[in-house]
Amino acid sequence: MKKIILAIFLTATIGLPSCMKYGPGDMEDFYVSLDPEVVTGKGLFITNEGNFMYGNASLSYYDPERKTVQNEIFYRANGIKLGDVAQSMVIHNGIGWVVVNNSGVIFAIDINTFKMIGKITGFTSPRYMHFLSEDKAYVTQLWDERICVVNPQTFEITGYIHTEMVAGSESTEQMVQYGKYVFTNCWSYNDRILVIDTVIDEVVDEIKVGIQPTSMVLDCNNKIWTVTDGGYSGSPYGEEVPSLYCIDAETRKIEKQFTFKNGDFPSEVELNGTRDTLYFINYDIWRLPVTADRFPVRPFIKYKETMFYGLTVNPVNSEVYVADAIDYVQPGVILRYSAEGELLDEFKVGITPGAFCWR
Amino acid sequence: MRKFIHIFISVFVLFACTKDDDITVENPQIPGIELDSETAIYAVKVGTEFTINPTYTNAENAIYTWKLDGQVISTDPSITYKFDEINDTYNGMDEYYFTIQVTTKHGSNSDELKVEVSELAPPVISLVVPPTGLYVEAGRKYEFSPDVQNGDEAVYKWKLNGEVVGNTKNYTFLKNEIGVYELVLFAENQDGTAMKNISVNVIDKIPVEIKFHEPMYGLYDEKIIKYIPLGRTIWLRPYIFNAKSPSYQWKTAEGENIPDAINLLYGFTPDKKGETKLIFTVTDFDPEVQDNVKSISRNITSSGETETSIEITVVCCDEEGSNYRQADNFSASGVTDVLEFVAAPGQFVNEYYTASTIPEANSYALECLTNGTYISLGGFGGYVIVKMDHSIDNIHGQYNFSILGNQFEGSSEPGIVWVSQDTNNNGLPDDEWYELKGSEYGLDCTRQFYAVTYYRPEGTRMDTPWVDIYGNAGCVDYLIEYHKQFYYYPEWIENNSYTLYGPCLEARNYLDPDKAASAGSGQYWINPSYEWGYADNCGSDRINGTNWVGFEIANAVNLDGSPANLQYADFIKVQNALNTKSGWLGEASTEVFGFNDENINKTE
Repeated sequence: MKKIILAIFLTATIGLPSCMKYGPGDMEDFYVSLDPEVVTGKGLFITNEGNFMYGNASLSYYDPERKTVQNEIFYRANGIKLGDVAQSMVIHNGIGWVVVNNSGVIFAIDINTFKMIGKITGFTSPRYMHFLSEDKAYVTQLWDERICVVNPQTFEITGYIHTEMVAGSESTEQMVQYGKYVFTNCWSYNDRILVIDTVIDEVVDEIKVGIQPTSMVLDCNNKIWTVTDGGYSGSPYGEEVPSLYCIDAETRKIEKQFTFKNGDFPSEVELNGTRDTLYFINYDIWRLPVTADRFPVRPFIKYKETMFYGLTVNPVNSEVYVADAIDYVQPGVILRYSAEGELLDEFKVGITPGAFCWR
Repeated sequence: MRKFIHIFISVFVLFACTKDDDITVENPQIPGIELDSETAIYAVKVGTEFTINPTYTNAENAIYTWKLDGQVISTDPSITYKFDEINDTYNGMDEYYFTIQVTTKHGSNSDELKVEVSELAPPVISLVVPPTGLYVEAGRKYEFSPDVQNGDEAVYKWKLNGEVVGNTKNYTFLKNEIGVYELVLFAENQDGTAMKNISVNVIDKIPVEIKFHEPMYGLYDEKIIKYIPLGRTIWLRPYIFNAKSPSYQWKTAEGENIPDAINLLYGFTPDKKGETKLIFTVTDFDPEVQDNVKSISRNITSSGETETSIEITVVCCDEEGSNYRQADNFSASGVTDVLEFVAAPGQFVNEYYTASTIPEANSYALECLTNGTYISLGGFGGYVIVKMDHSIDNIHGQYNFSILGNQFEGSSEPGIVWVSQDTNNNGLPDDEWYELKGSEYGLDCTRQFYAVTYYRPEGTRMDTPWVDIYGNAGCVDYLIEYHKQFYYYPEWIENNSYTLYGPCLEARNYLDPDKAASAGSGQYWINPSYEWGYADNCGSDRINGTNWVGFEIANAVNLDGSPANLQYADFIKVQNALNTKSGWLGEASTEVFGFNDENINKTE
């Protein structure tokens, strides 16, 4: 993590908290009066990774209508710390599933009260969760060639999908589903997308792309978009210029490849609610229709010379939220923009905000 | 009649068919635009005309509208344009957005393109020459390897005393005769030319230089004056440059050898107040002196020895404590003044602030410390000197003061801390400095008497070169993705080179591939912590887990390593103690956010 220092006009929160509590702590009661089963775009969870090995991950909740944010909601609602590196969150049937990567646990919480309902343990290093049905979900991992099959009803790991990746490059990350197939990108010292048959829970195919595809989405035309970071100088896996790929989910063929420049560092492909517009970070925030044949010449949101680390688009009104990790040390900031790119709000959250989850 | 009707029907059908063609056979399509840049980005040079010439389809009788930032500038199918100046001089590039709209009776289409206007990019030659001049030895080969920005397509020419002697970027210089030679390098590309003149002094031997670690920047440009309170020993330890096989001798002002004073380090204890002059002499022997300069005549030969001397004035002042400033209830626990901020070149130097003189730099540093924002000391040797409105007592068994950094596990950039007393009572930190020893003090891997000379780059946005006391060369990398100020060399340092002295800790930074994988980062650098005793370090002496590192004046040592036993401190100096860099993170640079007198205000 780069120790980047902000300009003097930003007030940094210096040093660690004077007292690091891991639990038990006092509990608070929360209640969000929204229908937990419907995605309205009126509530946003932010997972804050914290610092690796520091155990200071946290969860935040933002109300776009009131423009208010509550931080450390997991700790405040449950009296225990979230853990080490909160990687992602998904909501299914009114329950939020928070994947805490370096703690090897997934917490299930009530998304109105933030109270823990249950947890699944036994992972090596979980990254993302994808639901297939009420009683089956996949959990991808890092440093482990197995994708876990879990039963969310019983909070248990019920099986594994073996990807047979070589040691040192075991990484499965984000997932999209097309028909009975789930696609997952392998990003760490790797260059492929795996195709999993969800009926038999086996890898049945793979799509080779560039070095280190880091994120992935599926658009309204059933095209998979993934962006690579190209590796790094001195990497044993090699280095190349990053690319954005458009892959047909049916034929599994690459239909478009947009090549970046040396020095670019694209990441975080995201879609709007109708899945016809793609967004990503490459210092600036970029936006293009999924039918585009060329990058736009003008960024959607200009780079602030800090650290744009996460990105999401409100599925209802296409407002864009950007997570600014600033310097990975002090609390991050979320910038909220209108669908036209005007800044509407900004608010502080936890350290290194990385992912979002809409309700 | 039938024939007439037939004709009429034919005409009618003919007319009807013609009307149908107009609607369905033509199948009208909106115009198509294909730019002659596949990225729709055009890179042009300021002051140079450029043409954008798209290809159009379905554009019969089309109307073309070119707009620049919303204003119509042309109605031709192609456009030729020129920008005469750069407005964004900070980044050296402007961006302009053109739109082309093509309209026919069947519809309209448009596209947007970007024009990036940059400065002309002539070559910039960087060839570091010592500030005292370039002296080379007769009969030796010297390889000149300049750094040339924008030099990939350049044509080169070397001239020596007006004659062409080379046409590649690098040049090997060799002269056997003593004298001054004028060497010139020319570089030319399509955007311009550059020239670099170098006077090369060929001598039989490069002179030995003797320097002292200056308490303040530029203090010893004329005379070396050392202040010591009565009752103390002053330890003198010069830095020697360009010696091959030196021997040392300390002498009295009269030139008499002081017995047994034959080491670099010499301790002198005045027995009364007043001035004492000492002389330090380096005798150097070079066994490789060429024969033709060794023998001047059959009667006169060179021994191959040189002798260089320097005079030091030691001023013995009042006893320690004479200028002590007692703290009281109104004393501030933080700094009240920055006496000197001399950063080494670094990625955060000159960024977001302008300081053209040392007083301006000091003011900037004081403002930062007052506001609790950071000062970056830059690379190795960069330092800041502060004082409080009272002397800080050496109260044994506790931290006497603390320094705030922004370290965390895996990111330590240790700064060595020094203290000093205002022995000569002039309010300036021109007295002796005493290092507060830390865990690395005295280890074999610590280079106690280290120095680095930095050189101002020849052009903007270039690496900053350095050479250390051992002859190693390197640079402070220019990180164009992250810090875009023109120079990392401090703007307030007037000279084109300067030397920073101080101990250098062993660099232990490394790449961690496992953490890189976990953090989703291509390169994950670890700048590990040192055990204790350094500012901006994640050591065991962080107070209550905060980033305030505690320091005890009892750890102050003389140059010979013996305890200094100071009763108090008037000045504190923090100095970057690492000369290393971590890939894309750049150079290790100590940051300081604040100081606190722990005796009167304990950190919780």
